Amino acid sequence: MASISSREAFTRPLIKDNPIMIQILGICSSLAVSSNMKTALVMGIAVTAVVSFSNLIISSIRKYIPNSVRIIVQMTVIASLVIVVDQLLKAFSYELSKQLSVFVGLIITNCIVMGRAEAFAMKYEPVPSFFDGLGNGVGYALVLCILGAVREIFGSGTFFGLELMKTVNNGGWYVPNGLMLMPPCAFFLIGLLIWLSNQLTKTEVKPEYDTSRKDAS
Amino acid sequence: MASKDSVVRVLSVTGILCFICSLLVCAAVVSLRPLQAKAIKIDRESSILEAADISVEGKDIPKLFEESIESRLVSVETGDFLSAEEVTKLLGENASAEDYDFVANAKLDDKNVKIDSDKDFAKLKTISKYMPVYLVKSASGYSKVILPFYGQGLWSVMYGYLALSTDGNTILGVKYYSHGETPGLGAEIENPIWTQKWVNKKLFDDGKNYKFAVTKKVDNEAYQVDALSGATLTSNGVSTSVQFWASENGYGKLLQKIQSNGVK
Repeated sequence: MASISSREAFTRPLIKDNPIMIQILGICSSLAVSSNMKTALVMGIAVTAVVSFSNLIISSIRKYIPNSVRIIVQMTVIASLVIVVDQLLKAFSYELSKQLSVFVGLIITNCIVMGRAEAFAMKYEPVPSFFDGLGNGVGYALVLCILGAVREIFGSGTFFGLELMKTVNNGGWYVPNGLMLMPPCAFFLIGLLIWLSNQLTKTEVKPEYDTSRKDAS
Repeated sequence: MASKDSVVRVLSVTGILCFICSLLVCAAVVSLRPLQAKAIKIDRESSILEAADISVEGKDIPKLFEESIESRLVSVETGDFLSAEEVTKLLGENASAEDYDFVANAKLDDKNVKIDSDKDFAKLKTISKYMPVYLVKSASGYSKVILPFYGQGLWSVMYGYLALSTDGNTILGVKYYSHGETPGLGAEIENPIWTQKWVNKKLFDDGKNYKFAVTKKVDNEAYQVDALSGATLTSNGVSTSVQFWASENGYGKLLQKIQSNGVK
C-alpha cells in the first residue's frame, strides 16, 4: 500500500500538479464559467466540494468496489453528490444557479473528479484522498479565479460586479475588450498560464510521460 | 466468501450503493424544495419589478413587490378581471393570483383553451383559461399593466413580461426571464440595451389594427423594433409571441376594455 501524507496530498495539486495547468483536466467547464469572478468562484467551490467528498467516499469503499464495475460505481457516487450540490445552489443562490445553468450538472463529467477518483482515491486511504480532492478542487478554483479576474476586469471593467473602470456604455472612458468575454479567450489565457508554469518549473528535470497516471481527456 | 468480482458481489455492492445514493438525493430534493420555491418566487417578483422599471437593487423584494404591485387574474375568453371571491373560489383560501401557474394549467384539459392553428402565431396550441396580470400601483390608481407572455423561439419557449401603459397600447418595458436561446445571439433578448428600444412603441394604430413587429427593416419607428442581428429566428419568435398575446385569443379582449375604460 502506497502512502502519502495528507499535507502533501493537499499542497501538491495546488501549483506543482495543478489540475488545469499541469494535468490539463477540466478545461471545458473552465472556458464556460470564467467570464466573471462570481460564477468562477461558485463553480470552484462546487467542484471542490464534489471532488473532495467523492474522493472520501470512494476511498472508504474502495475495498468493496468490484473491479469490473468500478467506473460505474464512481459515477454513481459523483452524480449523487452533484445533484445535491445543484439542489443546494438552487435553494440558496437561485440567480447564480441560473447563470451556471448546465455547468453544475456537467461537474459529473468534469475530468478532474473522475480522474482523481480513479488515480488517487482507488489507491489511498480516505483521509489523504479527501485532502487530495480538496487540493485539486482549490487548484482548479485558483486557476478559475485568475481567469475570472482577468476576463471580468478587461471584459466588463468590473471585479465581482463592482465597477473598476467606467465603460463607454455607461458614459466612461474604458472600451471593454469583447473578446475577453468569449470562451476562446479563456483558451489563450490558459495557454499563457501553462507556459508560465512550465517556465517556473523549468529547472526541475522533467520525467518521461508517466503512463500510470490515468489522465482523462 | 465470494470473490470481489463475482456476479453476486457485483450486484449486491451496486444495489446497496444505488439505494444509499438515491436516499441521499431524495433527502436533498425533498428537504430543499420549500427553499427553492421561495427562491423561484423571489426571482419572478424581481423580474416583474424590473419589467415595471422599479429598481430592485439591495431591496427586500417580497416587501417591495407587495407595496408596488397588485396581482389579478384575468379570463382570456372574456377579458374581464376575476373578482376576489372568484379568485378564492378558483384557487382556494391560501393561494394568491400572483402564484397562478399558467404554464402547468395550459396543459390541463379543464383549465385551458385551445387555439386554432391559423391564429396560433406563437405556436402554443393551448393556453391557460386564466392568466395572472400585474398592476403597478400609483398614487392615482394604476400606472402600468404587466402581462406575462410567452412563445416559441428558435430552440425553446421564451417566457417574459410585457409592461404596458394604462392606455393598453404603449409598451413601457419588456423582460425575458426564462428561455434557452443561443448565448450571445438569441439570448440578447435579455440585454437591457436592446429591450430599451421597446419603450414607447405602440401595439395598435388609431384604428386599433395590430402594427407592432420586431423586424430587420424598421420603416415605421412608432411600431417597430430593430431585430437582433444574428438571431433572426429568435427575433421572429419574439415578434409572433407579442402578436399572439395582443390578439383576441390572448389579451386582446382585455386590452380593448382597458383602451376604452382604463384599468379598474
